Amino acid sequence: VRTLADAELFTRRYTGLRGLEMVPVYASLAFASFAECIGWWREGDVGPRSLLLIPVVGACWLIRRYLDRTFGVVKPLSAGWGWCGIGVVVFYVLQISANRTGVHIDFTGPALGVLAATLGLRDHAFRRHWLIPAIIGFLMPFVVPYPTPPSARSAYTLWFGVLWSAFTVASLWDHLLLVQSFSDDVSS
Amino acid sequence: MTSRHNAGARVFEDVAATDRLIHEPARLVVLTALASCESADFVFLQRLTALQAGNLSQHLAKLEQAGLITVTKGFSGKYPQTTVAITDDGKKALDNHWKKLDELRKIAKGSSWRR
Repeated sequence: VRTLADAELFTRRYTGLRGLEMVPVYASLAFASFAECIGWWREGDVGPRSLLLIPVVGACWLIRRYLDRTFGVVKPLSAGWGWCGIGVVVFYVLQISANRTGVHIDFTGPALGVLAATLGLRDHAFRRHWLIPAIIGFLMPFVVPYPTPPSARSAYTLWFGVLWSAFTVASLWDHLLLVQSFSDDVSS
Repeated sequence: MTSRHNAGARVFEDVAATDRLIHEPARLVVLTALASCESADFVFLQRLTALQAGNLSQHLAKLEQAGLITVTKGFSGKYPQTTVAITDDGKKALDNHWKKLDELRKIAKGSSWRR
């Protein structure tokens, strides 16, 4: 590393930069959404989705092993699971309250938008590319009506396909930053 | 001239008295990195410091002997994995080291012999 500050900063950021780990998950979700959008898979078709899980789990395991052996393992001071838990509870409270009071908003898109925005804005917006999936997530309630009528079902799945694709690209971008960080250090 | 000489000598003595175990660049990088996480493995530290494995091992052994870090050897599947974590003493020593360097910097800035 070039400076001590770099060493400290890079160690803190390292876990977040292991985005490649999540690429199979996001890519499979994007694929499933597009497959449903174009009519390959029907809504709630469990069979092909379950089959997709096998290569996804295998790919995640292989990628994790590759990252561990190539770049190493860092256990962060806080994994942020507490905030994730609070986020899930807030999401369900908002969604259930909206449904009961007759406010027709699907909070799934905005919730994923908040998740992406959090990743994009933390640590001095170092991973600001996450703001693109955040915007796509936030726009979802304005694009797709809720409850979704059958005629808008393909728009709903298409939007999710686009959202998960943006998550996939952002994760790949994280990996690019990780590789660049190490190669910068070696060359300096 | 004498006061300038004395001030310079005092700063030099203070610098010489800094903890050399921590002040060595590679060990300072390792301790700084470990202070910003719960633990890190050998591969990560090697990538971070760009040191040879043997060289890094020596630095880690010195820090472990001084009680500044703990080194745990285990396995990840079939592959050996060495996990390193900073101890409370290590954190204190690192903090004290930075405080000392800050003080030295202040003294050097405020000294009469500085141009």
